[in-house]
Amino acid sequence: MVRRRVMQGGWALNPDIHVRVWDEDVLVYVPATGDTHLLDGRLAHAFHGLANRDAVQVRDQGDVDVDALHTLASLQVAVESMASCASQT
Amino acid sequence: MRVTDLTAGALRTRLAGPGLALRTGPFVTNVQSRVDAVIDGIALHYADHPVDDAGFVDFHVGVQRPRSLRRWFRPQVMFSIDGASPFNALPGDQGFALLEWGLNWCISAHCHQYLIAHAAVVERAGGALVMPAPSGSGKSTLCAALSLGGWRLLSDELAMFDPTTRGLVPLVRPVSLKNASIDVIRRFAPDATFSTPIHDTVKGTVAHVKPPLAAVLAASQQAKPRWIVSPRFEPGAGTALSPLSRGRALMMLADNAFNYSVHGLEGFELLAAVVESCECFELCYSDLQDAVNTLTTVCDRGIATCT
Repeated sequence: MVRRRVMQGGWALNPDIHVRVWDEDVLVYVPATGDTHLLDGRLAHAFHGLANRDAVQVRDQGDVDVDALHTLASLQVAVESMASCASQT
Repeated sequence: MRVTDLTAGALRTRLAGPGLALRTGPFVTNVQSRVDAVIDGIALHYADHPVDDAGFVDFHVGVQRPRSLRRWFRPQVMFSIDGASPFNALPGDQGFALLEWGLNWCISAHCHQYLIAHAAVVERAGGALVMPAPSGSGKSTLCAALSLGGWRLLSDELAMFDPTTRGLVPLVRPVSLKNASIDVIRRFAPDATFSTPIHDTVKGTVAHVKPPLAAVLAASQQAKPRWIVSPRFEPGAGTALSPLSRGRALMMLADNAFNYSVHGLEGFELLAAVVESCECFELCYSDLQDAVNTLTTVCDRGIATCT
């Protein structure tokens, strides 16, 4: 099951991943590993691009439709992939 | 009662016997020692600190000479906590420095009720300036100068974030200076109280500066994080204060934290809340007075904007 909640300007996705976005910086925290990833520069741009291209609308506490939920799940995979790339470079 | 209320003989008797229950911020440490460097160091640097005979003791520590030939021949000292000695012995004249390093270890390794980062913290008008940085970056030098120049000292070494209040908990103790920074601070604040420099430690030459009385008296007052500044001393460089992104500021705090992983998601959310409440900068400097003036001006401007 995929869910999302808005927490103080950040996102929490399930499977468990927590995202904070400040201007161009994207911070990702993965409780399963305890890793914190900073996606900046091109990675942050890719993150924002992915979010926009897939029309992910993170509004306030309102419901999210099924497509958006699937998109968020995809987003998570993308974020972890980007974070993994970041840690290797 | 404060340490200064004890006569020299009474202080020595306590330290040599049952121990001195010394309160530093939220912690009470029972210290036992017969080592002159430790006794003199406590009498000098902790004179204004409370003696807490009635409360719970967080740590029972000692700095003593080993029970071996090194008690007399090229004397050494050993740090102990609850009777165990976690570190190697050091030369006898390093007793007070060893006590300070040992206390830092006790807190950073055990006090997980706080998220603790390797950072200096000073306060002005209720706002805390946090300076996370690795050793050698000029953090303690800048912290000493600020705390001797109108800011309130919270700690030169350990920033303790309270997860409940998201405030910074003071841990007012002597400021540790190394090598060239000792003379820099002597010139900056000739009236400050210094210990005799100890040479050939693992960190080079080390001296401690007594914390200002006002900071000791305010040691129960938390401060709200307001500024995060990553300092970098660079010989010959002009003072440059440039914005630091919140993402990088959080990573800097996390990288310099001793127990970020212990706090898990709560730690991430705590640091995220901290950086969201702060203005974040990088500071490159070589002129200490100019750096102090720059920080004070920028922070006062921020305070004025909010009032």
